[in-house]
Amino acid sequence: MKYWRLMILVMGCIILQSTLVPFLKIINVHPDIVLMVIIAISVLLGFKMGTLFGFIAGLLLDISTGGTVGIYASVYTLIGFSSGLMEKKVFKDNFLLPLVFCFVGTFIKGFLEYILLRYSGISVSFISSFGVVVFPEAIYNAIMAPFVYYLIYRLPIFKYLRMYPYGII
Amino acid sequence: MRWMWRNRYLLVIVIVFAILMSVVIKHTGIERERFSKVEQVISTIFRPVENVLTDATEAVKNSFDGMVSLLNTHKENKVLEERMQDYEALSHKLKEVQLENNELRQMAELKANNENFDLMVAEVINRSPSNWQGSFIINKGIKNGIEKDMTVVSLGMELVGRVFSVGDRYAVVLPLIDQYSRVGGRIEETRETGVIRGVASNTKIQCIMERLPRSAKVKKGQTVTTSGLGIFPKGIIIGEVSSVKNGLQGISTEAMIKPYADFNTLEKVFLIKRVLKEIPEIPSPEEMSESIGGQ
Repeated sequence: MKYWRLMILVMGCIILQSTLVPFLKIINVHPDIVLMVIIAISVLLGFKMGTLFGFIAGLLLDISTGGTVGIYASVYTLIGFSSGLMEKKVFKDNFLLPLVFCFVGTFIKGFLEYILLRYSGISVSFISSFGVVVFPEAIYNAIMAPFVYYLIYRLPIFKYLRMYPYGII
Repeated sequence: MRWMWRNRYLLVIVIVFAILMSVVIKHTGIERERFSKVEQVISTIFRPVENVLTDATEAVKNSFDGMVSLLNTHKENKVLEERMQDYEALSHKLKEVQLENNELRQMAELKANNENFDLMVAEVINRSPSNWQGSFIINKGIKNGIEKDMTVVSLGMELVGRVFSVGDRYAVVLPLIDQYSRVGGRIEETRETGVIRGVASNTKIQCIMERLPRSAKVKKGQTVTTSGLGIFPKGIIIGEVSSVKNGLQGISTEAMIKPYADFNTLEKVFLIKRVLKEIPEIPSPEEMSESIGGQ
């Protein structure tokens, strides 16, 4: 129950992602704030919460936008899990961390999304789209990620992290 | 093998998850007539918030558009800088009112004048979060009389797409620039038909018209309309040809199409409920004799 603030934040991001964010288009690509939030949560809280939040956020995003159910759920679950595995190996104070994670995460997301879209029966062209869609989106996400990370890092439940950045000895 | 046994619960969860997801994706990925009850319930929770946010976005976007255009003029007319500032507030207000006025007038006139189609207005409330797809959600559904495969056009009667799947009070629209979309098109000047495919993820080209005959006399600047072959009614304008090239293996011609409708700024759309006057109806012999007998 102590994660209710995070849950509300994630829900808010899902709604923003499908209403306001598409208007932030630059060269036909908009950023993915849900991805940034999932990465931030799983880097800060570990792979269990990362996977859980990834799955819930993905499923809600799928359902609320009327697309194929399961694509974003799988993509975000995997990203939440894999970035959560690095939790113990990184310094959480460094704001280059979300930048790098979001850059790489966008590529993983693009690749998975492509495979799952193909699997669900919607054919998308790979070679022509990857450079035009995924690469600009990765840069866009990487630039925006530190700001989103900072907002989440400021939440009350991460107070102990700010007090003991090297862990409680 | 030992680590597999140590992580056996995780392994089971992963396998169950993978199977579940693949079944769900396969089940919901194909074109659907209606949404399931679970999806509709969850969507209904999100809808009101989205409605409010969309309205807010429109307001912000309008004011932002105003600011951008003012900034440009500012650059061009450095001499008039001081005077511009005085007019800033006024012109901004005027612009908003004008836009709204134009839109309303357009809607009212179209509704009154368009004898060919029975139209219905709907608002765009949600867009696909994916950069690969271009679908969006409108705020009318089965309860408002919307059916699957209804044609969607912009306020200027340019083709936007078709209704893809329907919920009780909302529907998903598949625009013609989506990669999944196929529209039967005809080149107005030469009367040649082809299939228009979307390329949503590309910046410059949004649609490609395929399967034109090799001998087609397509040229840049020609107008493309719907051919009437398929689910779209005949004669709705789509866009213009921006360039022509040889198709696959040189057996056909491909034309790049620039749609007239602006998909990035769509706010309101029309749905064609019914085609009122397309082909003149020929009465059946029984009806003829009946009407003669009646007279």
